[in-house]
Amino acid sequence: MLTITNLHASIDGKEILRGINLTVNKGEIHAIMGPNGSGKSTLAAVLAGREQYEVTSGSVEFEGKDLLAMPPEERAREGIFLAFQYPVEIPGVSNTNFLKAAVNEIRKHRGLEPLEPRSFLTMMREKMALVEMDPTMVSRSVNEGFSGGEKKRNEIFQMAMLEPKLAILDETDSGLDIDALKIVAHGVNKLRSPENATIVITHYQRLLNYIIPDVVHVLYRGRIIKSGGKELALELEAKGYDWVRDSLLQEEGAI
Amino acid sequence: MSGVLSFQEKLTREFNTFEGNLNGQAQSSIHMLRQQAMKRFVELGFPTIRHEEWRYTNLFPVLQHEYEIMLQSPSQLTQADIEPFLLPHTDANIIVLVNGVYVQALSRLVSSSDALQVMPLAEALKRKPMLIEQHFARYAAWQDDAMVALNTAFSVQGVYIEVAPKAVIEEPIHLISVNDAQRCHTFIPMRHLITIGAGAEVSIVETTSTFCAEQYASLTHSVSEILLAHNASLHLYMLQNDREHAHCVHNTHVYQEAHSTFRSIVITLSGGLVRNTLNTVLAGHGADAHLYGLYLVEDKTLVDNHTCVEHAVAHCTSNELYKGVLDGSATGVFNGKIIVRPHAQKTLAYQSNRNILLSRAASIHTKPQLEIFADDVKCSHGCTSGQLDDEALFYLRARGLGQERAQALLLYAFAGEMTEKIDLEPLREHVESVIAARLHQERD
Ligand SMILES: Nc1ncnc2c1ncn2[C@@H]1O[C@H](COP(=O)(O)OP(=O)(O)OP(=O)(O)O)[C@@H](O)[C@H]1O
Ligand SMILES: [Mg+2]
Repeated sequence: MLTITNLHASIDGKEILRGINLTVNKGEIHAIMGPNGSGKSTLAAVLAGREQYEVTSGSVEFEGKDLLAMPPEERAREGIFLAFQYPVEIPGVSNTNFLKAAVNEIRKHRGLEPLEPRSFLTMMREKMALVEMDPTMVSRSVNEGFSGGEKKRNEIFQMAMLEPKLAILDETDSGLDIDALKIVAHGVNKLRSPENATIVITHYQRLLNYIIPDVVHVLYRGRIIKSGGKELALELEAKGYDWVRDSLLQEEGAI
Repeated sequence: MSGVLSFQEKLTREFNTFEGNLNGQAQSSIHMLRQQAMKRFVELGFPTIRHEEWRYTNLFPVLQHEYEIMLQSPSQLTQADIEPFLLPHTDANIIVLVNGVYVQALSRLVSSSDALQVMPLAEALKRKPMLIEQHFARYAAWQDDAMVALNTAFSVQGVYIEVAPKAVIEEPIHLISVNDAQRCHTFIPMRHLITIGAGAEVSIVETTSTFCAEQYASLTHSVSEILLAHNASLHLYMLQNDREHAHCVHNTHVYQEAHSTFRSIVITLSGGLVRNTLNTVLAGHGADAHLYGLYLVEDKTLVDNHTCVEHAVAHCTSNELYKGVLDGSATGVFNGKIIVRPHAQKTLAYQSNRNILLSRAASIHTKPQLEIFADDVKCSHGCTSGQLDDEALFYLRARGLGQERAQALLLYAFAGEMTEKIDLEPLREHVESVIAARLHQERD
């Protein structure tokens, strides 16, 4: 579904991603872990199409298409969804209107008619229930005055509404209380299908108890330096990132 | 330059002709005042960009045209001509001025005459001499302002509106100025005086619309003086959505007695050169003023809002927010003056001006001007000018909204903060639909 090959990206001339290789297949869940500032959000932003980042080399193929050639809206319409680490507050734009526009843009792209207002409302109600979101929140402005946890939950609600093929969750677990974490994980699992895939960026092994990853990657200074099964997350939690780096250096030294 | 001088000379000739036709009235106190004002205007001349208050608003190109001066010459318009300017589904007191002249046949007052009286200004000054002693030319000082002086000299047309004490007028007053520039360049001076009695409440909507042929310009020059007596309340809406050759210089001078409330919303959506001077004097304890503005302009429109809030006494509040979106090669000017006089302790004064520039050719000149002579006051001001929030744009696009759609949604929201302050439902609907159409935005 997604093939990232030797991806380099920089901002203001500073190289952040330094040769990322990653393949995600349909039906898989990948977790990306790594220390602060290692480039996790940068990778997510580059995949979503944030223009500030300059891709200096490499390629990204999504469902057989050149992802990097598309503007952000087209990526979204093709089925990429980024749950932002820091969702943006947009005063004056109501959640409902915004979502209606988004849902219908994506439907249009798929050759579907816009949703009838009634079906849209039914769908909203259903998805809100899925993430146990307070119905009053959708009539408010996008994220305005939402608590940290509410913002995260709103991201998952949007994901549920937009039914993406590939969802990238950037630290969606940070700032969530234990119950909210379970609800969000439950939502993600519910939406899981053999046809779609998820990339979960997280600092905490805890989330991975609920969303069981197929592969765990360690991103370190703009590179994936280690990949493994879900046990890798536990090992990281116990031993820290220095352990990966050191063992890597040792391996390299041994060669 | 020569065009401007010849216009100035033409004004002088016209003034003399007008005087000649006054017969016995040339000695009246009002006319003496006009003469002094005319003299002062000739001394001062039209303001140039060297004048601090006109630095970014160059009147001269607009003054080049060979204007016909419209004095007591309403053109023949019918009810059908006026129809498009009415607010739909609104039971309003409609006052129609054609080329500055109050046309009773096209107007319609629905409130009782005990509560509301409307008449041509000239008639009011004749019938009620106390107006001259107490109000006329008392709030709009002409001695140092050439444009006010000129308007005072030609203060023969326009209306007097009187709201009786304690009258609570449910139906808004809609002051519709229709200008006819179909056959020549037209210059239309008008002068209004509005007195709102103690404890009275009213809303006034002012709109100006011009019928103009492609090759002709119009220049509307109005001065309104408004007295808000003790405890009175006025909501004033000015909606400016005129043709590109329709220029205007509006002055609104408000004087507020104790515990009165003044709330204005000035909305400029199109026009040529649009200059709005809006001054209010908080002259009695506990008075408050809320000045709001929204300008959403493109092409070559120049919109200039010069406001001045004078806190003359203690315990008054003023709050001001102007927001603008400038596209094309439009120019915006915002100058917000706040004066706090020495005894005006416990003053609260807030001011903010926020602008979004959508094109490289658009520009904004914004300047707060605080003159504070009291020590126990809370004043704040701020201005921002920039592009749309990049992060918000990206967020919307990352959800599938195209660049234009996302931009329109954000602009509509930006303007929405102002439009939602319009308490008159039909007016709000109208303004929102004009803005939505401009942004190609679907409304809920
Ligand atoms: N606009 C920018 N200008 C300069 N440096 C930037 C900019 N944006 C990001 N960076 C730098 O890029 C690096 C990677 O940032 P990124 O947000 O991708 O890290 P992260 O792995 O998501 O970290 P965290 O775990 O804290 O969320 C950091 O060193 C950061 O300071
Ligand atoms: Mg991050």
